[in-house]
Amino acid sequence: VFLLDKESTILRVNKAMADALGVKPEDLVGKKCHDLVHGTALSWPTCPFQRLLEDGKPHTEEVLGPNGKVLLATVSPVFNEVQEIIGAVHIAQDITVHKEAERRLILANEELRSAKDQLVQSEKMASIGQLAAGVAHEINNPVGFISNNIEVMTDYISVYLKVLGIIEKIEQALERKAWDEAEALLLEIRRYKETVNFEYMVNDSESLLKQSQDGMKRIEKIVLDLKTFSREETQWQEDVVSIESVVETAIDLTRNELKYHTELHKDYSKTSSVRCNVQKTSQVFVNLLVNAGQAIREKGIIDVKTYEKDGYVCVDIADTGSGISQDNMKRVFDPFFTTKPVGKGTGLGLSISYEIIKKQKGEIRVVSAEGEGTTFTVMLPIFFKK
Amino acid sequence: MTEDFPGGVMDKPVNVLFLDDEVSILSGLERLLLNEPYGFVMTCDPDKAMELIKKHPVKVVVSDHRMPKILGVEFLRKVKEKYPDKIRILLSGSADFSSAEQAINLGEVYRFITKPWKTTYLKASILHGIEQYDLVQTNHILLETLNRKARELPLIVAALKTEVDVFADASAENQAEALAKVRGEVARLEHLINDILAQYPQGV
Repeated sequence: VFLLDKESTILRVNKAMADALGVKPEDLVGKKCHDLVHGTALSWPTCPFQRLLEDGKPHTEEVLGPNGKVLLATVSPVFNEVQEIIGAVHIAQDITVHKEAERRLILANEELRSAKDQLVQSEKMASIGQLAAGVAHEINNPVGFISNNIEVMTDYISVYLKVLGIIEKIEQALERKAWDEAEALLLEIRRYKETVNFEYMVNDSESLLKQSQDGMKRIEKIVLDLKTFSREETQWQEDVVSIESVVETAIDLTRNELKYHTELHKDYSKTSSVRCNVQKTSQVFVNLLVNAGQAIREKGIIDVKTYEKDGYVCVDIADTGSGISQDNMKRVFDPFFTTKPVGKGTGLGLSISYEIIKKQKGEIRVVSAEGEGTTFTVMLPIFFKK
Repeated sequence: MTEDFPGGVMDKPVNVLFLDDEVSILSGLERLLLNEPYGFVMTCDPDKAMELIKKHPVKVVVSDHRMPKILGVEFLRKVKEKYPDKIRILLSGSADFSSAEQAINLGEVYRFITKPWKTTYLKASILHGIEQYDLVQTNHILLETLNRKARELPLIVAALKTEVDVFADASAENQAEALAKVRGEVARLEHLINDILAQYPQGV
C-alpha cells in the first residue's frame, strides 16, 4: 500500500510494499511510483491512477510489476475539504500465483473440453460400430441381388441380340423374296427360343429391373440415413421438422439391429413441428432404440409413440425388456454408467442424449419397472403450432 | 418351381433348396440358376424349408444367415442333425465373420459364401456340393456291398475247409464226387473275390 500525490510521488508506504520491493519504507518516500514499480520515467500506460485523475473514481487494473510479477493495482482517490483530488491510495496485490493458477485452469478446462468432444465422437463411433454389422447386412443383401441380376440381364441381352440378328436375316431374305431361306430362319429362331427359355426371359426382364431398382433405392436410403447420423458438424444447426421424420431416420438405421428379435409398433399423431438439430436428435433416438433392443433379451415389443403435451412434442420409446432397477435409475444419465458388457456400450449414450435434448430446451424422462420394461420420453418444445 | 412365389416349370429333379428371408434374393437366384442342370425349390420360411427337404430329393441346402425366425447356422445345424449327408452352404451378407468361422470349424457347413456373391463361384459351389453328395452316397452303397460280400468270405472259406476234409477222408469211389464239391467251393470263392475287386473303381 502506498499513498501518492497527484504527480505519482510516494508520500507514504507500508512495510509489506517496501519488503516486496526489497527496500526500507523510508527509502521509498519521495520517489515516483512508476519508476519504482515499472522502472519507467513516465507513468505506466495502463496505470489506473491516470484514469482516476481524469474521472475521480477508483480503478482496478492488472499491471506487470518488477521481476515479471503480475500485480492487481487498485487506486482510490484522496480528496481535500473541497472535494479536489490531492492524491490516491494505491494498493498493489501480487496475483502472480493466482494468475498462474488461472492460466492452468483455463488449460485444464480446454483439455477437458477436447477430451469430452473426443468421448462424444467415440460414443458416436461406438453406436456406428454397433450399427455397422447390421447396416452391412442391409446393404450386402440388395448389392447381392442387384449384381446377380445385372449378370443375368447381360445374358438375356446377348440372347436378345442373337434373336435380333436372325430377325434381320429374315428381313433381308424376305426383301430378296427368298421364301425358303426365310422359312428356314424362322425355324431356327423358334428352335433357338426354345433352347434358351426365351419366354421366361421376356417375362422376367421387367421384374428383374424393377427389383434391382428397388434394391438401389434401399441402398440410397441407408446411405442417406447414415450420412444424416454420422456427419461431422462443426456448427450446431437446427431445422424446423416433424419429429416423426427424425424418429423414422433412427428407425431405418436400427431396423436391422432390431428386426430379428423385436416387433416395432408405431403410433404417430399429427404433431406440431419442432426446431431441432436433426442429426443430433436422430442420434438420441438411435441410442434409445438400440438400448431398447438390448434390453429385450429373447423376443419383445418396442412401442414408438408421438403426441403433444403441455407445449411439448413428445416421443415415447417403450420396450418390454428387462427394465432398470431402482438403484440404477438414479444413474442412467450419468456419464460412463453402463450395465452393458464390456465393448457393448461406453456408458455415454444416455448422458450425451440428455445433453443434446437439454441444449434444445427439451426434456428426457424415464419410467421403468424391473422385469416389465422401460419407457423413455423425449420432449421438445413446440416450434410451430399446428 | 418355387413354393413361396410363382416361378417356371421344373422338369429336373429337385436337388437344391434355398432359404432366405428376402424374396428379391430368391428371385435373383431363381433367374440365375434356371438353366443349371439341377432343379431347386426356394422359401422364406425355415419350417417350410424343413418340409421341402423331406418332400424332395434335396442334396444341397443353401441358407441365408440373418433371418428373423432363426439364424442360418442354427437352421443348418438342425438340417445336419436330421440329414447328416445333406451338403450345407451358408450365404451371408453379415460382416460378422465370427459365427461363420465357428460354423465352418464345427463342420456345420460345407461352404460359406458372402453376399454379394460371385455368380460363377456360387454355381460352382452348388455343383461341387451335389457332386460331393453323390460321391458320399456312392461311397455308402459301395461300402455296404463290400461289407456284405466280406461277410460271405469266411462262410465260403469254412465250407471249402469242410469239403477238403470230406475229400481227404473219402473212399476211392467217392473221391470224384468230393473233388467236384471242393472245386465248386473254390469257384464260389473265386467269384466272390472277383466281385469284391470289381467294386474298386480302378483295378487292384
